[in-house]
Amino acid sequence: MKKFFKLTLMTIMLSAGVSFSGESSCRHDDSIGCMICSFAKVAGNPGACMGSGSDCGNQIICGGGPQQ
Amino acid sequence: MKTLNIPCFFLVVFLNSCEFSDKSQNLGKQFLPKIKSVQLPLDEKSTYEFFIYQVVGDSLLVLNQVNYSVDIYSLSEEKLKRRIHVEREGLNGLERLNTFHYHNQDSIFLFRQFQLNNSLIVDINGNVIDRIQHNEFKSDIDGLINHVGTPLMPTILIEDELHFTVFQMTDESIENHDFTYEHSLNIKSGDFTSYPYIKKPKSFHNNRWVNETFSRIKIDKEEWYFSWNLSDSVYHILGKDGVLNQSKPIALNGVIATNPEPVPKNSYKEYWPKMMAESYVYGKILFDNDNNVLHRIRYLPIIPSPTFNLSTIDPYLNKNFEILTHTLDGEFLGSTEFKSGTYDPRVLFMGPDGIYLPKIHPSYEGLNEDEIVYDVFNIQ
Repeated sequence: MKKFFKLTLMTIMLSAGVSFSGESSCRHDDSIGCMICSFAKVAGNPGACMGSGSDCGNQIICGGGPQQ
Repeated sequence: MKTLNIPCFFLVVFLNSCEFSDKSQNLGKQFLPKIKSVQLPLDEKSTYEFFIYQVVGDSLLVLNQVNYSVDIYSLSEEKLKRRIHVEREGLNGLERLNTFHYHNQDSIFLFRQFQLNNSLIVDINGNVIDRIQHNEFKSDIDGLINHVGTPLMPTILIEDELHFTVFQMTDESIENHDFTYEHSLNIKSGDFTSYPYIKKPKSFHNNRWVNETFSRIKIDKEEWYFSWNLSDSVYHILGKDGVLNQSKPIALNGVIATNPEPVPKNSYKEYWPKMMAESYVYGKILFDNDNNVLHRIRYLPIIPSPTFNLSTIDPYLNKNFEILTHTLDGEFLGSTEFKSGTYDPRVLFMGPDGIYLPKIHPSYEGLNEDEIVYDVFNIQ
């Protein structure tokens, strides 16, 4: 039960956001006014991201630009 | 003579086929003996994915992504001592908590992924002390800072300067030889300083490789041990006021030249899995202050098979590995080898009693959701 709870939590966390594919790391989504970025995980270095990709958690940064 | 050899042959085959409890996790020679195991309990809010961590004396601090907290374990008492909760949003909140740095009880830095601005500084009780504010940083994607801060290249505060590593965010910058990885932020002035004299070694220019990253140990403001993951040498780098003073290569390769091969640029993704499996690749480097030596992980070549699973888990977990131990001058002291399938060598650390290697490989039969077990190895 505990394992199920943990896995469920992890799944919810990992599935949050918008999934997309492509070679570009970032793009602006006009429909929601947000910058959407996606990067690739770095093999051998858990927690690190690099380059374009779609497996490192999608970042949505709103407000017309990525940095407030 | 013949009659003696045949039984010996079968005896050798029999012994090789046996799996003994500890020996089954290791290959032949063992320079670092296992001296003990440490078991840390995991409560219902914790998983064994201790990926972002820092050792401070006897304490192991772990970023708990599930619970959104920094958990502090005592390695000697083998228990959770304290939990620093972080709010996800609001006045005292932090979105996308990704890494942290413990400086002292009054200054624990909590960093957002891809940004440093507004990162939190809290005390040991979780009270918000301050937030980081900074001036403009020149990045390959405007407005984002891909500060890494993982245990292979931790972010660290030296005096008023937060020293950090950045990774490339575009494929173009991955191929840029002049990309600057090392930077610092003066947390009082908000100004950045870059250290452009640290670059990818020339031997790796104009090609793509199975691994193009590194592990580094920060000694002082402008002093590093820099370990490119395909280089047999580790570089002891000294600079002053932004100018390189010394870059001394130290052969930390266990007296074996690994001879990396470039991956064809036009078919990088196609060739990468097989070449990755068949290559030597270095991993984390550890400074052993007590013994005044350097330890370096090296992942060993394997023959790719259907069980070499590249899609579901990190390929580094499929490779056997060794810990190479050298003096600071590069004298090779010995190797300690391990089969894959028990440990996660990506996230081992130097602790108070030696090298702590977690038994959290996804295929490990003893994997337990209620505890994380570290085997501890040290020079005898």
